[in-house]
Amino acid sequence: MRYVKHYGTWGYILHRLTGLALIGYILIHIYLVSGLHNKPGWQSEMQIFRNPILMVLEWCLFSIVVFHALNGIRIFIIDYFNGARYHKQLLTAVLVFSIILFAGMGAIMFF
Amino acid sequence: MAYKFEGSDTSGTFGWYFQRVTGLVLFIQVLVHFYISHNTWDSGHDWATIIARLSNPYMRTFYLVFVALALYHGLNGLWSVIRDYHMKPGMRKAIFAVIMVVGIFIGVLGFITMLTLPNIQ
Repeated sequence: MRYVKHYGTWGYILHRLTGLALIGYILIHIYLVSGLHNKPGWQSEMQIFRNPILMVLEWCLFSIVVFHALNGIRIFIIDYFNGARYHKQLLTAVLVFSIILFAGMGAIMFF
Repeated sequence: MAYKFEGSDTSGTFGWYFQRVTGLVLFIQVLVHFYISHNTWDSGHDWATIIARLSNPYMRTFYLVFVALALYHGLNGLWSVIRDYHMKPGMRKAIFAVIMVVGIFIGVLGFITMLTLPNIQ
């Protein structure tokens, strides 16, 4: 399927892409957390998360969650509070807040 | 879009509405989840810290709801993306079946994990 790439459509496209990434992540996440039954296995597995590369990936995951969550609020406003009149400004707000939170989380995680 | 939808005018309305309801609940739950489980490195990765936290029955209830809603919301979202593409009816049913099977499998796994973990009082 082709998507018309106007500014507001990017909210739609990004919501879908981040959503697809998140459901993939959630399935893996629930599967891995079931490893809590095996204490030694869990503890050695979790050492992987000391690796800076994985920390950067977790940071990216956070940004995906934040964008999807904030854009979800945007969808809610569009559906219930006449937000279709100003959905482009809302998308700008979502992107600005996402970037601020992404930078803030980076500061917390790495400094 | 050129495909025939087998359903009445209102079928799908519940899915649309419930996607928004679950989305709002998940918004709050994901904030709580991040705050409590990724506050420090230990809170998210250390076995004893996690088990101690999950020994609280309210915490377990929270996660049972979280798993159920996140899987519903995520897989319903996945299905609505896939539905936008033209498919043969057989393919449509097959993909839907795969989504249901994966969802039930991972959902049951998540529930078993939450309900059978050791309790440390």
